Amino acid sequence: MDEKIAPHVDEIIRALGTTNTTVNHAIIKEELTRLIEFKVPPEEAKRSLLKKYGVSEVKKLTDLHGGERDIEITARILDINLKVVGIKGQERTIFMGTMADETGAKSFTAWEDFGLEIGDVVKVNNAYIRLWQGMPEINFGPRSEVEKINSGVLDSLTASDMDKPVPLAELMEGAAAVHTIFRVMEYHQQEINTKNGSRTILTGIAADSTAKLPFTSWEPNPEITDGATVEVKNAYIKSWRGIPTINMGEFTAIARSETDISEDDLAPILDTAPVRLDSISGRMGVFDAVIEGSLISIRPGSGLIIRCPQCSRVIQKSTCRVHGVVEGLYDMRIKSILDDGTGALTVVLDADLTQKVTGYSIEKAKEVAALAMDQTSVEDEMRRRLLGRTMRARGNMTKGEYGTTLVAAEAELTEMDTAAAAIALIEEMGAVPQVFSGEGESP
Amino acid sequence: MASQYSREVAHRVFAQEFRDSDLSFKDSNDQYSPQYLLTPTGAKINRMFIVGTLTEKEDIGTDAEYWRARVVDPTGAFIIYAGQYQPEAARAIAEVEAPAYIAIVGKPSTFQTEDGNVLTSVRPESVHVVDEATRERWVAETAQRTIERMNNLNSNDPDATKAREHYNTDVSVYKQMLIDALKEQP
Repeated sequence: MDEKIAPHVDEIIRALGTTNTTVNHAIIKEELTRLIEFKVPPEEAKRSLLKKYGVSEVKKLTDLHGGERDIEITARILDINLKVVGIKGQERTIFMGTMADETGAKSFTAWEDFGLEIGDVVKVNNAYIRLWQGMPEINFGPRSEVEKINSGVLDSLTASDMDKPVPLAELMEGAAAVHTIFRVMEYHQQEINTKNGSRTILTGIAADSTAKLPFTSWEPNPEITDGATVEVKNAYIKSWRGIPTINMGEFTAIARSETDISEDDLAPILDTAPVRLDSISGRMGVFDAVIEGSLISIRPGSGLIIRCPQCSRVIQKSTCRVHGVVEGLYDMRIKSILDDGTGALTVVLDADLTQKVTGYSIEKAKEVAALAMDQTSVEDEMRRRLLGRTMRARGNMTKGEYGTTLVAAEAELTEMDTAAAAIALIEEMGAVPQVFSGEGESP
Repeated sequence: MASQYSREVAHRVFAQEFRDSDLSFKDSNDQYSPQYLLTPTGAKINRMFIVGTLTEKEDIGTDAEYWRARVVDPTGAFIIYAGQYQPEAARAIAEVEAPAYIAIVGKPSTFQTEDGNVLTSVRPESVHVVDEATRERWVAETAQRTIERMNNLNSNDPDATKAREHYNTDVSVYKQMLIDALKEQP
């Protein structure tokens, strides 16, 4: 038995050794022997012991994903707030905040009091990552070890990087402790109902020279007024309907910015000229994009459709897959593929826009369908009218399981003065360089 | 998110450039990885969008229908093959009467002859009749995209590099092609 176990014990000690954990050789041997006696296969037994004696994986904050366990991180506490929550009928004090390393910032929850303060640099062993409202969040509790370490270790990252405001176009979903400056393009007060009664929040549109994004302030704030430029610290970015949204909560600092974002600064993003699709296809979500391209496909399910009156699902043969046999409601839509030669996406038009680009009202579509005794005849007719035509659309672009989609808020078919375009293109061609293919030649 | 579905772009190339293309490859050995055709100005095509004039069509099938059609743009002709595996496109070709302006979305396909020449053709996903304005606009947009590719041809872009090395592209030929194509625009 001994000879068989010895190499495994050595292996475990070696693995643990690399993480500076000192574990008694005899204990490992004893526990491993015991597990093997209980008919646990050696590989599984080794895994258990490695886990028990804490081989945390060292990770940087930007590499964290939901569901990961036994993580070791080193980060600075940027913000920490006490919160009393009810868990299983008991009141418990937890600590929520934001921590950052040189790669980025993340929210955390400490389920016990580790005596942490803003500015502390901590090494956390056995942390685990949970998705909270779609964002990975660092959790540490009774099983975790939290060690305060010399703050000099992380000096390089803190002040400089975190203090620099980030342009809106670079804000990524899931980012915490966000520092940014934007102009309030518009805002609305909204009453929402929460479990603690109703509260007032502000929603609106933020803009800088790089992008426009929606924002939500969960607390009313006097600095948020139309046209004001504000500097925001400790905001967080959440995805709302696929679009990154700036969230400002109770721990977010909002102040009037020293420098204003002027109309001139905003000009490039308020321009309603369509953008090339390859310029936005890398982004996860784009708010209020204007695009233009050829309609190269009208997808099945376009045209005249019937929806369940209760859940709005598209139904067939008067039967909703949730609500059974129902009296369906007629609607129209177009699901098209728009392609400009640099990129392609799905553009969805609602009934009004479908009528605008095809000239079909729902009434007319019903007549056509009745005459042909076939609902899909409307789809065929719309396909005939639209295929190959150029459409300009405006709306929010999101990425999902089925690729990139833009739900149009505005859409129109466009014409082009091809003669003028030809003259401009011939002129443009004068600047096209020759190609240098062989070696030794240089531009 | 690397595995996220992303639709292949429908490239715009003129018939002359398409006919000059003979470099066909896959990015990986996986049998499901898409097949690409690289053109002399560096368009890496898995899907293309063509608007041109259908001038000839012929059912060359023996048992099942198999349509061979010729679609002409200002620089030359695309050869289109549609059979039982492209039922909608084949039916559309069967129904349309030449000459007519048609829009085609399809995949490039190559065939090597015994003497080593590579012939290019298009396997259509869809074929639809369009109007003259759509055809003019396609010419302008295809010229625009071709100019963009030529401007990019000296860059480090992998497609551009590959095109340069394989074709030793003479840009002046394609410049002249574009000028001829654009001059006939009304």
